Amino acid sequence: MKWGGNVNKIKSQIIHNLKKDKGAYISFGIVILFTALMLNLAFVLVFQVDNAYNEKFTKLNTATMNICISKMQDIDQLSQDLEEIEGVGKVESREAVFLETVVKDFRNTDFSMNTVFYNMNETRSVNKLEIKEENEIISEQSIYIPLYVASFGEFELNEEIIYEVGGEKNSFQVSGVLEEMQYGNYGKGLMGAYLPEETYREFAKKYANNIVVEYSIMTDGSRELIDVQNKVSSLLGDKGIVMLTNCDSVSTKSARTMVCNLLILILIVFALVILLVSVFLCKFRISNSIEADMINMGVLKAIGYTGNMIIAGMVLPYVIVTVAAALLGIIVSYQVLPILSQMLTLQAGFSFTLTFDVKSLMCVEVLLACIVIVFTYTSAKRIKKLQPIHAIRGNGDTKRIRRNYFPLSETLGKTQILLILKQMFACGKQNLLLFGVSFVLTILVAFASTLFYNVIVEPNNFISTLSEEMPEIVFYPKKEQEDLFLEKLQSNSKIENVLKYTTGTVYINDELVTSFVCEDFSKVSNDLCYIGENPKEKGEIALGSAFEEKYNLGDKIEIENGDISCIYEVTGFVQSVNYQGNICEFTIEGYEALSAEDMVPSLYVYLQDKSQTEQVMEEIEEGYGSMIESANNYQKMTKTTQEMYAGITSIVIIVIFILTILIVLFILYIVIKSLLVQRKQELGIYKAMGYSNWQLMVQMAGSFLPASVIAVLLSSALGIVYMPQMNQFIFQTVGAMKNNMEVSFVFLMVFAFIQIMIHFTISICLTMPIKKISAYALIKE
Amino acid sequence: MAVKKNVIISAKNLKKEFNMGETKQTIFEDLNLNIYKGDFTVIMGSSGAGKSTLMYSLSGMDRPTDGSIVFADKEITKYNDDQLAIFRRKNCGFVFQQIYLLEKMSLMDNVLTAGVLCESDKRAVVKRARELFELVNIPEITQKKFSTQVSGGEAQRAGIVRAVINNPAVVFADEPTGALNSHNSDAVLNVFTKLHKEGQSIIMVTHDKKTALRGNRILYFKDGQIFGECNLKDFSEADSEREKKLDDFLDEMGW
Repeated sequence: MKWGGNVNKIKSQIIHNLKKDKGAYISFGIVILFTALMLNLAFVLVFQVDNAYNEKFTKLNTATMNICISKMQDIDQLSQDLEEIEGVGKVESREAVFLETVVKDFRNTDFSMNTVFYNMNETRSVNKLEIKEENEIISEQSIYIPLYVASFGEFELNEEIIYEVGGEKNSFQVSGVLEEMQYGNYGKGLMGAYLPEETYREFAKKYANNIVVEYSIMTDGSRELIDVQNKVSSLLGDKGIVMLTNCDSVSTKSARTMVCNLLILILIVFALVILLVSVFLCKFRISNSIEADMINMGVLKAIGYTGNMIIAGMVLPYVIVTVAAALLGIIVSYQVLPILSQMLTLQAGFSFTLTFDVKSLMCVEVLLACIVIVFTYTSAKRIKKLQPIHAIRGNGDTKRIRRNYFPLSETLGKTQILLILKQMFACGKQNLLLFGVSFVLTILVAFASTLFYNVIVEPNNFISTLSEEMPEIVFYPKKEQEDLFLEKLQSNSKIENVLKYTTGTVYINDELVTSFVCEDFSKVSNDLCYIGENPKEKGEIALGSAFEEKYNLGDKIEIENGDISCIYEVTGFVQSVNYQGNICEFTIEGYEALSAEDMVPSLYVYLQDKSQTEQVMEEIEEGYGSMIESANNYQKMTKTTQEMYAGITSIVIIVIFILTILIVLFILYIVIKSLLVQRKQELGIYKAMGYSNWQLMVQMAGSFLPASVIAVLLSSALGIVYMPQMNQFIFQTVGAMKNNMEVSFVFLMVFAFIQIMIHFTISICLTMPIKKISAYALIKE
Repeated sequence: MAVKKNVIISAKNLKKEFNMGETKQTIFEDLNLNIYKGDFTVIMGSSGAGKSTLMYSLSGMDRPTDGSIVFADKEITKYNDDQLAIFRRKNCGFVFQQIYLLEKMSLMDNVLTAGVLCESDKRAVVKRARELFELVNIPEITQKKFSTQVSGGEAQRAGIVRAVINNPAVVFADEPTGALNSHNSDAVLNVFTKLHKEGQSIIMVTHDKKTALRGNRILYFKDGQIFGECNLKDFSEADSEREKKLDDFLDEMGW
């Protein structure tokens, strides 16, 4: 098409079209604005976050692989041996203290987190640190914490931070916040902490048994990271050295950018859904315009306009609106980006500034314009074949013989209902479109309703899927008084059940694995086992999902802990989102065989009345304080987690609802607007006969109700079938092989009903212009 | 002794003006008019005089700028849109020059759509519709057709059936034969005559003398006023005296 040369000739057509359907173009523009906003956010994140991450990674000269081994196992030539591995460029080692810690008051709760404590005054050539903020005065209790711990854990300068190690509290004062690129985020369960030299020396003296040597390995790029990792594992295995921590750049990056990537995915999917709906509606509107303006087009052709010029007159207004609205959407997106980058910094643990991106702007504009041109052109191209004389005489589609659906004289039923049905069948295409869109949107709404039910109404379903055992209180009794304390708890009428349950660590294939140890797994409240059974006997073990590919049920496996090793039979596989499947389960006897002395006793307490947790905990602490090392209000921690998820879920539900309403509003606006134009005369006739505004509004709005009601109810009812599959898929991607999410039919139906009400209310509101159509106007016209 | 006729519509001090941008165009002002029950009233006048505007004002389809209209003892000028709609369905039937049948419906459905507004017993409405279709000579097979599938005359006769299905107090016809050929015009006018003979009040706007002859009361509308009035005997094909009287009247009016 010769677009450029003809633009001047068709300028008046474009202006006329834009003026004629102002409302339709404005609504189309609004949808494009939202689409462009989301796409630009996604593209800016794609183009800039990865670069920002890599830049910071390079700037801080971060090692590609970091391993910690016990200082006692460190041998003189290890550094040299590591450097000789093919693909390794440089190795730097340093001393640190590695501890299993609980960070107190981390986002108002206590979070278990393995921590490596470093001497921050040590010179570093790799894994450099960038101080973001610090106090001028350094005290004996000073600590520098990573940005992730500070921002996500809500710790500020000068605040106290407590690292609890085996019940012992180590209190520090936050003297600085720094950025490092070595560790992941909470999902990895491993963090760094940095102490001034003096403080570190004292701390290392206190935990002398936990001093480790960290080897930071820089690869030279000649070999794949996985090859280097395997060779390092083999080297250490050959030397009998156990890796206490293993942190590589690929998994660290994936942990830190997971939320960002998820956000990009959501933004793109939502933008494309809206874009698809809007372009299909453009097609629909153009087809309607062609039918409505058939005679005008015939006249234009008769006086010498070519088919391409008329097509351009229809397509260009959409392209102009698209380009302008997209630009506006992009501008608005830059107001949202700072908030988004703040949110992402919280999750990613490194700061970055998102700036104006020409590449993203061009991508959004070109992508949207191309899609709109393709869709509008394909629907308008039939104008080319239009013969002017046929168009002028009205021999087009408008005169085709239709079937008389539901003849009033022969069909039983109320006439008002029959009139609605007649209209519904007369608008088959529109109803089909509405059916399709409503059906798809209901899948989103069903997802939202299931989330709502499982996070807000029955929060345990969601939390237990992502967590491990969930008692109300965990008591850590003094070892020698454990049995006596247990008796006291069991005789307390407010307590429903007490379970000996603890966590520990063992080595499987030379890697440190968290183990859950319980006296009887049949009594747990959150059964983690998804294949086979939990261990019941001393010689049995259940492995985490990370081991599923390596072992089968019934396999014999050798587990090591220090100098002791035992053979266990695999009875099942268990899941853990927090530990990414790197867990195992033992009975108490089974675990005692490995490390009886290391085991920290803990008692999981389940209450009769869960609302009394705080009070019962206080009573027990007051009554038996001498028997207790420490206690943990687990319910509070669960509640904090639930509140965090409830916040995110509420946002997701609100976003899904707003988008659903926007899309439905847009479709109904286009459909009803075009019908009002098409049926203006018909509505005038009805009014002349004596039909009231309300009757006609209900008739028109009602004609779209069956399609949306059937689509919404069908899609919601099918939610019983597809939602468990969807949940299964979603949770499997985060490592929850089985989920406790319930699909509530009642909730699906409640949300479906709300959706139907919204559809009908929007339809009624959009049919309001019927009031302005006067019967007399039809005669005057 | 002359029989006293009952007034069905009484218009007092009626005024109608249109906004034409910054200026206003007055169609009629201080117009007083009575329409009588059982009359076949014809409003004549030159093109653009405002005949249709007057008729639609009287029917409640359009609102006068000022004045009052009492129709079937109700002052309809005080009604809102929905009250007027309800009033129209019970008291008015409309026949338009362009016919205006609902295109997506058969002739029968067009009639029933209007009929069910006043009668909840659908079977009774269907029965009456069939009788009326028979009266206007539209066979059952044609009743099932769409308006685009029948002749203009058949469509207009179906339009008349739709107008009278609710036994309206008055049938308003705006140039009902304006778009029809001579043969179809006669068929349509015969229906009006038949209805008039059965006692139906009719107000018809026309500028065609042959059509006007069907009425018994001819009003000549000129310069925003009823300029003259001519009363005729009921229509009869062979009555040449009646035709002459109308000719003389129209000559007098400057037709």
